[in-house]
Amino acid sequence: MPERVAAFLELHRDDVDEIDVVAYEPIAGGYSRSMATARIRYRSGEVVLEESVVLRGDPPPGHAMIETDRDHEWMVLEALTELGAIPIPAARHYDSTGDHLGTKAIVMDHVAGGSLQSLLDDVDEYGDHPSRLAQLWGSVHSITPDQLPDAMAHPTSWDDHIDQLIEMWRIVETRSVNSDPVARYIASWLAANKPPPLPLRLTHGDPQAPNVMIDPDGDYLLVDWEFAAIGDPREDLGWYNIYSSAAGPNLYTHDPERFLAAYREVTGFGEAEVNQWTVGYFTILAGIKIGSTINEQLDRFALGENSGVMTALQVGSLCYGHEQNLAAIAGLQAALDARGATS
Amino acid sequence: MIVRPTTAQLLRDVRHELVDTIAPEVTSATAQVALEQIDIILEQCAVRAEHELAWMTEEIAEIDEFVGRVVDETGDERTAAALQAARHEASGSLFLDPMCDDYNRMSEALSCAIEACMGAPDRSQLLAEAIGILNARRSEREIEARANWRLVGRG
Repeated sequence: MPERVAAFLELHRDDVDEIDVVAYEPIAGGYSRSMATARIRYRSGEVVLEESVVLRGDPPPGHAMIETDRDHEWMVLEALTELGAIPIPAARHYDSTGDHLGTKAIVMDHVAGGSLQSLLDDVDEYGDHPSRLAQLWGSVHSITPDQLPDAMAHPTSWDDHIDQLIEMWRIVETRSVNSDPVARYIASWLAANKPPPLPLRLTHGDPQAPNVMIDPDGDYLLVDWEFAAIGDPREDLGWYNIYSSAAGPNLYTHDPERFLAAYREVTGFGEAEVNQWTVGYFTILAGIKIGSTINEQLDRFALGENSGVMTALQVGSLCYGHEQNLAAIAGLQAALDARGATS
Repeated sequence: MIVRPTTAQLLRDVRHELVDTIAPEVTSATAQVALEQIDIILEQCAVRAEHELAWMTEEIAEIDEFVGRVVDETGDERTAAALQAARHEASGSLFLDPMCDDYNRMSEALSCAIEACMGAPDRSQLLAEAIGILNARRSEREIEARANWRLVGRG
């Protein structure tokens, strides 16, 4: 693999005499894509420079826990690089055919500082990270659909978009090898209790602390844009909430009102639309976006078309989702009932 | 057939061997993560080997009785059709694959019953009962079945 990486980089660098990959190491823990770091040495005349890059590609066929589109991710990265409004590691090159690197793969800057997850795992006090994280999500949600490529799916309206997400709960269940009354109950409840709308915005799709890198200056950089889409911004708040409940710490539940105040300040959204109840609603609704691809891969596993320990482990994710979603609906419904009783 | 040690005991023994003997010899970070994931899945398999046939059997009977009452009280045609299909096509087998099919068909009847009760004030008690089944049968047993599950290696 190091030789292939060197040869691929040489295609993009005619300003150097020689490129060597002096170290190459797979990154553990990437749940969706195969990732590796590579240490690159460039020589031009007597000048020698070294740097590290990250390669992000598709896993071998039949071993994906989640199927996503590298062309889509590269398109988003190019658009965000041009906008310059969200801090991301620079995306360098893309092997769009897989002919050079063996799989469609993106080459991007390596961030030396590690992830926010690693940092939070090692501290007891979170300092200003909850507010900074809320502001980071807010900066993503300040990108309007007209700033994004036409090739991205542009929903026709908030109602259509939300209805489609709710319908996804039913469609995924209907197509699955498993009949799931919990999913059908979730879909029915979501349809009966839609929250007030918000303007559609860019959504990251998988906002979680492992996807926030911290550079040596302490600045956040947001990675893994494979699920980026135009949607309701609260989908990201909801996904962050459920993911971080499964793999904490959860900086939202640490102090929800403070987190949401910081978020509203950046986005300008109102309290009627962004509050603990609506985040709860989207915690349930947004789960289907990644849940659908997990379901699909588990179905393929059951049919003998997919395999892998990582995919098998996701049976637990679906069970965890059931527990969390049932509890969330109970809480949200109790709040609605209490509101009804006092009005 | 030699039934003891049970399947669960055998699986847990493999777990211990992996943790005590194999894992200390493994130095690659990706292989360590994979081993930890395998350990979780083996424990989940052990729990399921112990319980899943009994759990499905119990739940099929409970849903059958509940959905029957929903049909009697509401006359909902979709629910009645789903229940009839579940009863008519039931294999009654204790082999895993046909039992999964029986379980799925009865689960579909429960889904229809929930949808028939959602949003109808006069059916709120039936809906509450259905949610009780989801909590007590699906969710609580899934908590047991997911065992020591966690998102290993993220960071």
